[in-house]
Amino acid sequence: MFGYMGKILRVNLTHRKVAFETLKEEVVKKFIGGRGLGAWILWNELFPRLDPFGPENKLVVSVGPLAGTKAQGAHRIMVQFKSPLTGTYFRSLSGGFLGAELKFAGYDAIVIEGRAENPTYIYICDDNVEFKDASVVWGMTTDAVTDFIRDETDKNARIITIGPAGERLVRFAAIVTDTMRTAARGGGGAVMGSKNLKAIVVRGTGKPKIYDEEKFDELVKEQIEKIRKGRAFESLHNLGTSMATYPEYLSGCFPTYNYRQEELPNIEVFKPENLAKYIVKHYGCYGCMLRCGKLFKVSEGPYAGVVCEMPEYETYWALGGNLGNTNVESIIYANMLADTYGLDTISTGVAVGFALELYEKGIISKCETDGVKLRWGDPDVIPELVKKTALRIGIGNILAEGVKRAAEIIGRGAEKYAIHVKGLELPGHDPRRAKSRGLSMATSPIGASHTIGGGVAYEERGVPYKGVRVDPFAAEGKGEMTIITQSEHAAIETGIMCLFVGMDMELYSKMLYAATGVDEFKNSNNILLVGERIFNLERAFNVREGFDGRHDRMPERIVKEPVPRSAPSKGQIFEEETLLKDYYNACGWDERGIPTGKKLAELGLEDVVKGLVF
Amino acid sequence: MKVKIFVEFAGKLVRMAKVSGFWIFSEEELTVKDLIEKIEKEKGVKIAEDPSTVILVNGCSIEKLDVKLRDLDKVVITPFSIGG
Repeated sequence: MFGYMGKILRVNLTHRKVAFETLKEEVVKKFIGGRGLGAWILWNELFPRLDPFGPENKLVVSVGPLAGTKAQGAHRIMVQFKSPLTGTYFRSLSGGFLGAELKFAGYDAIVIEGRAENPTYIYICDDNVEFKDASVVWGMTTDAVTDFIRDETDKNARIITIGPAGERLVRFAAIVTDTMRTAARGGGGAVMGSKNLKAIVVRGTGKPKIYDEEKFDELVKEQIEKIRKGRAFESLHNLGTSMATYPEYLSGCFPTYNYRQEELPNIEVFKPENLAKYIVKHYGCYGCMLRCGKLFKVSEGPYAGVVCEMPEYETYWALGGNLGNTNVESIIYANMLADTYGLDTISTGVAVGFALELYEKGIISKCETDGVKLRWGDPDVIPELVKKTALRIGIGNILAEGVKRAAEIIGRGAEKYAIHVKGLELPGHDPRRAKSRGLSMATSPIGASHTIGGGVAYEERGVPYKGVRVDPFAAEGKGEMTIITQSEHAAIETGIMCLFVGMDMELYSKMLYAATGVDEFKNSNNILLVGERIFNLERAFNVREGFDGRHDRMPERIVKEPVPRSAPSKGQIFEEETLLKDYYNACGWDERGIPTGKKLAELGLEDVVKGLVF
Repeated sequence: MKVKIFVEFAGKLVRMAKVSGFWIFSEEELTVKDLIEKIEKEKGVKIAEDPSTVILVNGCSIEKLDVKLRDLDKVVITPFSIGG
């Protein structure tokens, strides 16, 4: 096979056995790789309603067909599993270096199954796969374990690991890659923890073969030129996603105070020129010219000495504005804690915001917070709550369940303040500000994710849709745009392409064909069809788990409380019923939000129809 | 009609112009294009030709420069950015 390595590694932790399986050509033609491959494996191999923390849950780590080649932004990993946070199918992504290394080691995917009897890590060096004792590193933070394991195996090895949060089954524990990037959302870290799996270590010496090397090189040049000319190149290169924080607030996308959307005093601290002063180093993922990663250093004040990865836009929001916290150094410190303990900063921040609001409303009191007074914007209490959540101490033990379950545990009307869809906490993009983006979060197969589709370019960046400028606040006519962008996302994620390199479908199709020689990839419409097929397969997985349109629901606050602050979205709500009705119709699903047998058959998913009870 | 517009720079423009926020006064109505020309002249910076710049008028991204400004509008000129 060209482009691909043609091999899947299956690791059974219970029996300490490995198997090398051939990547089937018919699966490649139908699902390409990455997200498609993982979704297909989970659909076929996970029986319905299984316990996400049970040994029968599986974790698929995959790479795309362009990983390990000269392509830009194509070397990320995708982790797929049944989520302990949402109970749905889940996919989470991470940049870094492991994706390319996995390809060099000879694999397109790893399937992890079972549960190790004792703490274990897996060391993969080409065809040699070892089960290593992780009892010494169990309990270590993500940075410490990475250093330790590199000393024990190979100093150039690439590693994904979990921290203490994953070991304690925090339902939104992250998987951290080489201490620099994170597959954060959905609790993949907790799934690893439930399997007694501390880390996966990879070293490889091979490389993928390219079908048409000359053409591929030419296309890579075209891709590089497009990235260099892209509008976001300069800002991502200079300050990463930090650059977006201030403008996103001004435009009303950036929610505040647990989505109450009140004015945030002192917002100017998030201006790019203020954040840039913390940079001590720029870095990037394998094969990416954007180099959007930044190392931050705090030199003065109570957080002096903190050196860590820059908080991303979502983190300035989650551990900052969403909590009324405008102390940037406190946010940097809280971000460092989340990374080293292995937490998703979005879910963590929303869980902390939930606790702050419950305390303010008198639903919880000091006797439930270990005597700590919870106040919006307290720069010291917020990092403390991050640590308590990671280690499941006191109130942190409840927050570690995610806001949906935490509200059920607390009761007393707490659900009203739990900001989630299907159990996944909302990110820093207010659905009331851009209705297609909101609709995509509501209908996403993994809960409220901002990276699964939605008409961001049309609603927020002014790109005309079918030649017409789009009103971001309109609820009518957003269904088609939403399913098309969701399908495009799924299609691009067959190669696990970084969204920041701005890959378009035409170029992706050409690069795929030049790399693999698979005839089906020549036509970009076919690639888009694969995206729609994957999206419907993921939906079908969730239907089999008992999910339908009743679960595509925004929190009450988003649907009923008009935005109060003086942003362009002032007075807006999320018109759920209108948006969902239009969307299901555009998807070819029934009024319950379930893909029809006809639709699934049209997409070549006849076997999936048999697995669903209509 | 006299108008008073508050202009704010973010990112590299702050460094280049050595100013963050300032008022622009005009004796007559202004479009965004007029405003940009005025700023370029007064502050010695290039805005119109820079594709990596975004103009927000009261928080809304402006694609066409013929948008008319109203008294006390807030215009923010910031690098194009992506959050996520």
